[in-house]
Amino acid sequence: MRVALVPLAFALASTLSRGAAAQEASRFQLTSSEIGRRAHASVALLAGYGLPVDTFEGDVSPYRFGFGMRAGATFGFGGYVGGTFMKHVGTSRLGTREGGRSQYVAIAHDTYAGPEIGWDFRLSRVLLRPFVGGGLLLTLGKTAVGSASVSDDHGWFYVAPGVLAAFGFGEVFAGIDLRIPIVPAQSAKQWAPAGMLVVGIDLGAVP
Amino acid sequence: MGRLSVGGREAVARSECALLALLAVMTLLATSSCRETRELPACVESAPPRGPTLETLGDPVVVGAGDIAEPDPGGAEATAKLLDGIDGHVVTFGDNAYVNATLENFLESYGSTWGRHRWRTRPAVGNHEYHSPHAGPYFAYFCDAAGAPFKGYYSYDVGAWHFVVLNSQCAADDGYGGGPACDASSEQARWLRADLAAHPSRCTAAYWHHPRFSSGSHGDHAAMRDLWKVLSDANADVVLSGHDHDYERFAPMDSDGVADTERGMRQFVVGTGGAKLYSFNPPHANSEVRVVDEWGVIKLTLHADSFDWEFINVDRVVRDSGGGRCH
Repeated sequence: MRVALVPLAFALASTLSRGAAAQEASRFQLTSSEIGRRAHASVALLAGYGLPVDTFEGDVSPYRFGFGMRAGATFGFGGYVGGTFMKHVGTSRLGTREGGRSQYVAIAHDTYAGPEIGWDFRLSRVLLRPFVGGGLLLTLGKTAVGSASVSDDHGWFYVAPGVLAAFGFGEVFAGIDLRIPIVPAQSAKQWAPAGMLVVGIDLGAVP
Repeated sequence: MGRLSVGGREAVARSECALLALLAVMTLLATSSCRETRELPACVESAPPRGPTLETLGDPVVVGAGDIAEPDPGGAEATAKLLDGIDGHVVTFGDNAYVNATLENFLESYGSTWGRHRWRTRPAVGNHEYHSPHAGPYFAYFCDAAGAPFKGYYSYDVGAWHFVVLNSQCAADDGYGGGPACDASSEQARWLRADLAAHPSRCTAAYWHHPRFSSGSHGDHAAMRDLWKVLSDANADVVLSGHDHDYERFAPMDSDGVADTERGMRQFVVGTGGAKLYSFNPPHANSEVRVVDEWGVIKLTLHADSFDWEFINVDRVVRDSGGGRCH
């Protein structure tokens, strides 16, 4: 089913492009002089997959599928300031016994949020934004066998360098966000390259 | 947003629908593919109508090994066939299922081999079990036979003998959560002292995964020093371990690892349950017998105040044997 994400993304991009083609003045095609005068706000949804770089097969990855949102503003000189919230659904491993009675549960999922800064490079409708984010990452985990359970809840500071590549369709843009959330206080188990589909809206000039 | 043209509004409306659809599809994918469920075997199993029995005609027998079932469980199947012909209790010395001791590893690799003896097995937990969070699949698979969940230490009696099973993961976090501490003030050490005091048996055996002493590639496991001393002080007789994938027998040793034929504990390393075999380093002090590159099991026959041992390889050849007295 994961393979279905790729055609889904293309279909979505195709749909968006048809609506955007009708617009004469795309905010995404601002001229250099316009960019120089305005700061633009934008919001976007992200959905994708994160895979820890160092993990045992038996681990319950707290990353895997994730979704979230990003909001921020690009200033006239090209600098970007914003914030990101991401929630990865992680993994649930279950063992049942005798008619579905749950006897083993192992779950973990990550949530992180924080500010990010970047720089927008634009070429016609194409946006390329290297960025670095940071903030608080929460891992919520639990292992249960029968009625006994162990909690694995942790909070860490993270940094997440990445790059956004997007294509504009009028006020709408779509693309791919590649990032690596890194928890400096932890081993590479908490370093998880993640690829996100991004769909967003340019909200226009900040008053 | 008031600046948007009519065409822009349509585009935004379309994009909002697309965003919601994307989110719905992603959520559906996430919830369906990130949840993995397996059916576990029943905790209580009866002996199969044909095959080995728990009771033996003579004195009680325990038989077992460590480091058992790899994803290609050819070695584990060979040693499981040995068990098919030996009555008595089955013991394991950790690393029961490779590589990560997941539910799948237990149900498939271990389950298809040593799993047919699960009804008479008292296991120990190894480091590979901790490749899964808190060794959860190990405890779920073996149920009460592995003791209380997440502890990995427990005891039981066989005939006149008292058996102690310890957790030698010793707070080492190999994956997602480590085992209990093993130092002299740890909860495990306090439990061990109390258990030995409550079971003043003439003969006592203990087993765990990491050998206190070993000529194998992993070497000595110093983290078990304090628990070894507790056992030694209580006049325990036999210690069995795995971890190094070989067979090694030591002379009886005291709490410091010095040969002591009067009160020492005789240690066996039996990491020959089926996993890929290792070679030896130069022999450790007090190492008496080493068998390399052979899968097999150790069989202990438990008399009232003594014991006999045999190391039997998968060709059913006894490669080491002997006897000792309890103290």
